[in-house]
Amino acid sequence: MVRQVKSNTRVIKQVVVLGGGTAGWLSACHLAKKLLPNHPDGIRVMLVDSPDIPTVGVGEGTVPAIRESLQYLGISETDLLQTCDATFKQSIQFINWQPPMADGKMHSYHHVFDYPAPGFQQDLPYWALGHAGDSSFADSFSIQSSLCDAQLAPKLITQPEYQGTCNYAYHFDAGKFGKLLCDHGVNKLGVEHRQAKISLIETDEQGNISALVTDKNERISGDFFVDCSGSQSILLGKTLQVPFVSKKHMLFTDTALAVQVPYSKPTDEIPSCTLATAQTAGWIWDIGLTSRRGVGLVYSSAHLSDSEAELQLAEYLKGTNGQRVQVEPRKIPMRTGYHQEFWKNNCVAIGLSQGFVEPLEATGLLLFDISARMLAENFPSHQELMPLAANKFNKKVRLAWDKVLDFIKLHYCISQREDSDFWQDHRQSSSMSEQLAEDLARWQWQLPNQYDFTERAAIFNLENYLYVLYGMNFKTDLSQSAYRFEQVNVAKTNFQRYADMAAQAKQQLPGHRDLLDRIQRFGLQRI
Amino acid sequence: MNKQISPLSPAKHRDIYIRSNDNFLQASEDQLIPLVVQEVVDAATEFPVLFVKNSSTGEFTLVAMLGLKAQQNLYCSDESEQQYDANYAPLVLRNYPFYLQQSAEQQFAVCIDELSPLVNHDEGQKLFNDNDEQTDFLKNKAESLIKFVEQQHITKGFIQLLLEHDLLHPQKLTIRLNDNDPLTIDGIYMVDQQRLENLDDKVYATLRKNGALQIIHAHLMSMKQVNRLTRRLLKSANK
Ligand SMILES: Cc1cc2nc3c(=O)[nH]c(=O)nc-3n(C[C@H](O)[C@H](O)[C@H](O)COP(=O)(O)OP(=O)(O)OC[C@H]3O[C@@H](n4cnc5c(N)ncnc54)[C@H](O)[C@@H]3O)c2cc1C
Repeated sequence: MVRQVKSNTRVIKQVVVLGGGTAGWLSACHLAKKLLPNHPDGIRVMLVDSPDIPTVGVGEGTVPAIRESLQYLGISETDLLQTCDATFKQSIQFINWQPPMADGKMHSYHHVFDYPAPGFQQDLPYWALGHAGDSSFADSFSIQSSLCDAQLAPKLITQPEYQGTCNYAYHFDAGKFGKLLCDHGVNKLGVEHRQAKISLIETDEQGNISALVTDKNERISGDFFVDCSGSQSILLGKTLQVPFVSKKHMLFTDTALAVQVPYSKPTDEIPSCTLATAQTAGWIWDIGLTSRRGVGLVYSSAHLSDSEAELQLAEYLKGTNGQRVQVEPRKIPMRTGYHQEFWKNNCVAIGLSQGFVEPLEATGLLLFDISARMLAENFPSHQELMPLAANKFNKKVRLAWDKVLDFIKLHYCISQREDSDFWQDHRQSSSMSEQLAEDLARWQWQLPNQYDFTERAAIFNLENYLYVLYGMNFKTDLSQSAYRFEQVNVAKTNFQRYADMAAQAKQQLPGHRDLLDRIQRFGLQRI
Repeated sequence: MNKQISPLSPAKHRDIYIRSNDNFLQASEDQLIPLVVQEVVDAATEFPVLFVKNSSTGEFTLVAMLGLKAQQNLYCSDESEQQYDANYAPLVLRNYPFYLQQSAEQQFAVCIDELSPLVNHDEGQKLFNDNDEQTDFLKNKAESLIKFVEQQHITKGFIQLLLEHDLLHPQKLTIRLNDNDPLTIDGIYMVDQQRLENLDDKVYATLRKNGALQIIHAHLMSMKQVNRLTRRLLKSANK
């Protein structure tokens, strides 16, 4: 489906985004925000999507960076919460990622969004040496996991939009979120929306894309193209033939079964965190929206058959809903990895067209939000700059992907689960990046610190690693350096302070559903 | 104070009297008293008039500040044993012990707080005459309550107007009392004078024509009344 035409030098006047999933609309909004299509000298931004080709329809969990982006784009938090069935997310609760504990209880920990207070690293060795007693890492350095356990909201109704007592992100209905971005992009930012099915891609002799051709043979020309066509990667993968780098040897999951589950009654409490419950060959996400739950099993088809997977999901639903729900799960194939380049010639891929990693830390949206903004903020003013901008973009985005892959891998490879090949295979050193294997070897004797996290593009930092490592009971043996840590009482006072603060916050913060109900009625104020 | 608010009916309330309210003790623990725009100019001659958020809805409300900290009311206090002596008494204070409540059928009903100390059996005004008809006293009360609901509606519109033009901003009040630690009051919102001045001419003209500007100015000037509250506090402390 490639047609060649003569090239001629062009100034960039028209950007075309192919695809209207979350990635497409987020990219179009970011570009329009910077390129100002409504300005007489602005660059036009058009988004083309096909009503006949559905979006992937999942992607309901986010990370706190989304708040900054939405606010930057000028979207009101009240609109998001009122129109997208959205709820607050303060953490991911990982359940069963280690074998059951000595008392037979399920293992569970929170990767919370609040970072510990500055200076916390001074207290860290004391925690590792056991001076916080039974208190978990998260409870010793933040107040948020107990708030999640109490199903409280991260903020008060009197706090302005996008501000809270604790750091937070959202769960939302992906389709409704796309619609919100679409309305905002078209009505406020000047994005042009065109609905058409693209059946042919026109390229010039230099390999630039020159136009998209619809099935009605209409030509949509542009100077720059953003491929948000989903996992098909129509422009970057299919047309420009950029190879795909598989990462399946690191992360084995390749299939998802997704279902939408009703609440048993409309007053059911809604967790303010994502639940991620490990299974024999993968894990189950459980996300509470205001209207329903979104649940799905992510698994490795090499380790688990489809029928066994369906059974596992059904068992989980039965266990968490008290009744068997008659819902047909939707099967979604997943391909872990990314394209060798994300920006080639005059085309950038953003979204599933760029690559995929299992949604364990809800990094999908994050990665394409970052890349869309990076593209918008470094948008080349003329064609000659394109290769330079591309080079930088590719390096940064690739680094971001590699860091995310390592961080996801961490969750698996420090598990001691023995109950299936899936878990044992994850501990093979051949399945880890060299960097991660090295870090883990060192961290058995030395606490992770800021020197391990110097790259600025890293999305997951020291704090995130600590929540996961020590939430998973990773052992760092400091016995040889214990003599250096004599301020035991100072550290103990600090640990106690978090406990006191948590108790106080529990008094002040409203229940999660209660706050959501009130926001539905009264909205949040901008100031 | 406990309350028991019931709709008025001759059968139930034929025999009660309402004593006149001399010191508004029902508000003795209310630092902030809600206002409607129509009374801002008068209230501003005595109290700071400002905006706060309703703690259960987050919505902005217009209030007069009668104390310098939570639960303090320097005007309606028990201790002074004297008559309320401010230049102006907000409508909410004067309406007490009567309320207007909206029933499920959207009907308004006049209600009374049956536990109010103003309710008694021998002193003050009666609500119903011997024929079970409303007395003029009650009729007047009902009328002003209905008017008050309309005024609240207009007040909401006024606040909406301020928000639309991005005129409110949070303000921390710091008050020095003698040599003590300064007292800070959080959660207060005021009109931002700079933004007011920078409004485009057309918007400014609208605010002037619909009377909003006069209210804004009264509110801004009234902030000086914080000094009056401070003096009042020191006076009562020295007694
Ligand atoms: C199981 C699973 C769970 C996930 N969970 C999360 C999560 O919790 N958090 C998170 O951030 N991310 C998550 N993701 C990732 C997230 O769902 C996606 O990254 C996100 O939805 C973006 O998708 P997209 O816009 O790239 O593609 P799509 O949603 O597939 O959109 C593709 C668009 O391209 C258009 N299109 C395609 N072909 C043509 C054509 N020929 N002509 C015209 N238009 C065309 C379609 O109409 C559609 O609009 C998850 C993904 C999966 C698979």
